[in-house]
Amino acid sequence: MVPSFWPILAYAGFLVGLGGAILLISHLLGPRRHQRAKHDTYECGVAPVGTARERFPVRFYLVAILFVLFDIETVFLVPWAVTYRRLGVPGLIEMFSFIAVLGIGLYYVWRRGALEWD
Amino acid sequence: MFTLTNCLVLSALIFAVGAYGVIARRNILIMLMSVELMLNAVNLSFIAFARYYGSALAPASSGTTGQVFVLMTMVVAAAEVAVGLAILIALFRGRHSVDPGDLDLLKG
Amino acid sequence: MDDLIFTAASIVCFLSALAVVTRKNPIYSAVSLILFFGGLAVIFLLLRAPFVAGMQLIVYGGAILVLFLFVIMLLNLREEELGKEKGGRFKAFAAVAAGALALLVIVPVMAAETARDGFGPLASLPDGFGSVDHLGLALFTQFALPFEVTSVLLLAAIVGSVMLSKKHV
Repeated sequence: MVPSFWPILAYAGFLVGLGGAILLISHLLGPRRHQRAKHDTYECGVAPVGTARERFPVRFYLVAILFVLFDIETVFLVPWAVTYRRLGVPGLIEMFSFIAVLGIGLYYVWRRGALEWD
Repeated sequence: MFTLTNCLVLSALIFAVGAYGVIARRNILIMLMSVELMLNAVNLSFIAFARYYGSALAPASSGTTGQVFVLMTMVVAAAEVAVGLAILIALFRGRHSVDPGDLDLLKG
Repeated sequence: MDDLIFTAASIVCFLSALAVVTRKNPIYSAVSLILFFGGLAVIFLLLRAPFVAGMQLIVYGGAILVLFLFVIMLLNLREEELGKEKGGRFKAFAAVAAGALALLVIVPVMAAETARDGFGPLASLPDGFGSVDHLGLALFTQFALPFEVTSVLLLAAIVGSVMLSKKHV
């Protein structure tokens, strides 16, 4: 039997409806009194300093890149975890050699100091 | 209507839009996104063929093949984006531009 | 019903794809790309590929898009750094070339007889078609070698990206 996807559609519709309803109701009910201070950038109550358009440091990017690559590993781990009883020992060997190769990558990243914050 | 023909036509259209982006735009970020569009267009035709041949003639595994290949494409796309953006950042540090027309020197 | 959802999703996909390549600011392109990936995931669900649809959202919509947004924030391009766009004539030429490319596929596809009568009925699909189970078995038996080679590709990508973005360590 091929499953039907109505629950997903219903869930998506519910989420869109909920988000829209919250926005609409707060728009209708909320009082609006405009003042200069209210339109300032919120910065913990102190006057904002400098511009909001700062450049991110590059180390954030390294973390993001490594996240993407190890995220892909999970894509393969999920179907393996579902089927591993039927795959038996060969499947175990396959997955462990896959993880081992990525482990080399992790070791390299660690030694290069890409995980250090400063 | 929901037929294989229309899925393939949609795939061709998206591929063409991506190709246009790569040819016409002068911003490496958007060119990389256009490459993603092209890869996804190909994924769509893979999945459509998988659905078509999964139910029609062939042995039971033939529908799965297309879907497994899409997983492979995703890996390639992730690796491509990771390295491509790393190259982009390395270039941007030296040249302060994302215009591929500015990157015309062999020695940096 | 499938026809209706497919038509809506394809329109969303095509328009958001157009938005990706026409916006000047890469942030708008990236947001349109999210919409595009979402529309494509809907089409994947219609084509009975639920696992691939989920992975489409997680890998493309989650990971790859986040990477793009990170880089956009990181570079934080000012107007003069966006790159000089070519003039209208060059763009028209590019559009003609891309349209010709599309016609190259569309014409023979429209001419093909077999594809026109739609997909076979759902009942004719094998049990659990496109499920995690099905894909997992195929991936780890029939496609074991491509799967292992994938890990080398990922290793190369990890080493390459660290090399490129962390020169002075």
